[in-house]
Formats: sequence, structure tokens, C-alpha cells
Amino acid sequence: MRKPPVQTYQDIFKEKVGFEYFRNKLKLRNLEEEKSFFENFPKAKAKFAERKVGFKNIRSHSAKLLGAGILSGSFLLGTPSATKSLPEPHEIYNYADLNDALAGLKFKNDILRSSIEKILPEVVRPLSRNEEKILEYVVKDVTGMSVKASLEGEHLNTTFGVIGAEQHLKRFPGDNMSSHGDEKYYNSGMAPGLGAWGYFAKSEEAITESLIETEKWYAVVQTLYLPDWNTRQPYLKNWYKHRKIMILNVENGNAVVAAVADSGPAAWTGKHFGGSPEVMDYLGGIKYKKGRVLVFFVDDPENKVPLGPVEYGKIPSLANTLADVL
Amino acid sequence: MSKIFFDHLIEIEEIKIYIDGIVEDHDEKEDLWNLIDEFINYNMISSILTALDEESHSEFVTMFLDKPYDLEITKYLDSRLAVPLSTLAKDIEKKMLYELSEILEADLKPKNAKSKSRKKRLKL
Repeated sequence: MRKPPVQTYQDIFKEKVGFEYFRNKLKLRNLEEEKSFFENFPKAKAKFAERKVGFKNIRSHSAKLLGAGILSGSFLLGTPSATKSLPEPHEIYNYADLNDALAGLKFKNDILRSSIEKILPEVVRPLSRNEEKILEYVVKDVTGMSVKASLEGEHLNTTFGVIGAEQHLKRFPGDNMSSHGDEKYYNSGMAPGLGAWGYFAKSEEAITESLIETEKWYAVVQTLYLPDWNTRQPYLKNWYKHRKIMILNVENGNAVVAAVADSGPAAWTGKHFGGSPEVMDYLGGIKYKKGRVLVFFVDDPENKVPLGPVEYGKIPSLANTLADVL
Repeated sequence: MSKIFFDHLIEIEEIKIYIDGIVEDHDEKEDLWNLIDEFINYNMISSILTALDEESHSEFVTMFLDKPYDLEITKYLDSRLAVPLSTLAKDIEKKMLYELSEILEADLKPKNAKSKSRKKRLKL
């Protein structure tokens, strides 16, 4: 069988150089960087020492400050005017839009897209609680799905960010691309390593339809950057495993329900989320590799919401629309 | 929630793909990601301080430690640096890609270099 181009680097494993070797090299290099930084900028050294912050923990320091700011409502991220002038939910769109939908054959996707456009900042950044609340309201009202930025006290690293295309994940030992469904996703390939939660099943015999769907519609979120990720284990790892989230493409209004099955991407990739080939295809088409999305938890205590596309974007039937308007 | 004010200016996807190829275990992968993050933070802040006039050092470091996530810092730097922060960041990104490529013993090219096949880009 032909090996897809993205899988060729799996050959590296055959000549794998130890992880410890690279880890030690990087650690050594960071020690050198630290030494030279504090030699060159001694005043900065004093300030870092005063705050008990170093470059090793600057990200968790930022996470703690951000978390505290969001809870106290003082979180502004440099755009005070944008947050202050947020419209009230009823001002964002109204049912007259549904009349427009009928008159102009406008899709509901457009209503959602244009509604959230008014709220979202130009630069991708974590949203304030106020912004998230309004978005929850709008998304629920248009799609009919209950979504939350915070669920059971848990909050994602960010709700507004950039999603990138991921490869398929190995579902069980010995899994390969030939059994991963639609051939159009073959070129996406399979990730050489396992996801953060390992295999989906112990063996091919143990894989269920539900787990096949979970891998098909999987998402990647930055659990590694959660401020309490290391201190609240194993609770958080279990809580996030296959947790349902809604991913909404803010450019076209397409939405999909996915299950969290891997952790990442690294902060320095310019991305905040990842999606399986199927997730990315539904969000933006087969060539869609990267884009701005909103991500919320799906509030589904009875596990009734299926994974996959959120088919709210069809032109509403006349009867339903009239019922909504009246 | 985690953010550094320059996160959106740095994209070193090549390193991520390379690490995916050399490390199978997810925890080990995250360990390397964090070390690279630390390396990037050192390089970004020291390059900014080098480019910034010395009188502004103290103010900038205080702003950074107070609110490392604050996008206002980019505006502050844009008003004081000779080139916009985004331009400086792209230069630093290129330099870091070469340095990380050396540390990880990989043959990685900056994004604007002519793309060759992935097999050629990764030194096997």
C-alpha cells in the first residue's frame, strides 16, 4: 500500500534518537540563555526575582493572573473600549433576521456568523466572561444547542482561538489508515504517536461504534496550559477525556460537536485547538487547514447530543420559521 | 487560561512536526514543548530588550510581569521600537528556527524558504 506523504517521517522511529538526549540539550541551552539574559539585563533579573517569576513558569504565572482577572471581572486584555461597548443580547440580532432569511434565502449560518462578528475582537485572544455569556446566548438561540464556556467549574484555556488540522489517531494497537473510513481523508495520515489519552480501545475486537465515532470527530485542546492541570490530577484528565465540545467556524458559521481526545497544540505553533480530518472538512472543506473558531463545552448531562455536524444551517421550514416569529 | 502577549506572532510549526516524528510518548512530547516554550520566551524578551532603549527597560519588564498576556504591551513596544514588534518577531522566529534546528539536529527551513518534500526537510 502506498504510504501517504505525511506518514513518511514515521520512519524516524526506526532510528529514534533518545528523548532524553534532546531534553538534556534543550535544558542545557535554556540554562545558558538564562545566564546570558541575567548578565545582559541585571535590572530585569532583580524584577524577576522580586516577583519570584522565571521564564520556566511565566506561562503559568500569566494563566493565574488571567484567571483571577476573569473571575473578578477586571479582565480587559488591552481592549477596554471593545468590552465596554458590547451590545445587549437582544441587540445582536432579532427575529426580523429570520424574515430576512426567508425573503433573501439567507442561511441561518449567516445570521450566526454576522451576530458573533459584532462581539468578537479582531485579534484572537481569550474572551471575557461577559463576551462569553453573550456568545453562549446567541449560539444556543440560533443552533438550539446548550453550550457553556464554563462547565462544572471547568474552563478551557481559551474559547476563541485558531484551530489547525490534525491527523487521524491510532484507535487500537495495530490500527492503520485502511480502516479509517472515507478515502478522501487518506492523505491526512495518522499521527505517529498516541493521543494524550492513549489508545481508544485495547484491541481491534474491543473497539465500539461509539469509540470509532469519537476518533472520527475528535478535537485537541490545550489542557497542558490549564493553570491547575498539574495539581488536580487525575480528576482533570478524566474530566476532559472525550468531553464534548462545539467548534464553530466564525468565518462561515459551520459548527461541529467533537470529543476531546488529545492535548495540544504547543503555544508556539500559533494555534489553540486541533481538529480531526473530518472535523476540519465539515468546518471549512477538505482544504481547510487553519482558521478562527469558537469552542464551547456542550452541556449534555444525559449524553444525548451526537458527535458530528450541527445541522442547524438549513433554510428553516416555513412552518417552523413562522412559529419562531409569532 | 494561558497567554503571552507575543504568542500570536510566533509560529514554528516545523518544530512541532519534527517532534511528532521523534517522540512517540505524549508526556515526553509535552515536556519538549515546554522546554521550547521557555527557549522562545528567553529569546523574545532578550531580543526586545536589546532593541528597546535602555530607559524603557524597567517599564517594559514591569508591564510584562504585571500582565504577561496583555496585548497593550505590543502597542507600547510598537511606539518605542525602530521596527514594529511583528517585524522583529518574524526575524527572531527565523533565528530561533535555525537554532532549534541545530539543537534538535534537524534540517528545518524557515517558512519562506523553498519548500522541499517533508522527507528532505527532516534529516533522517
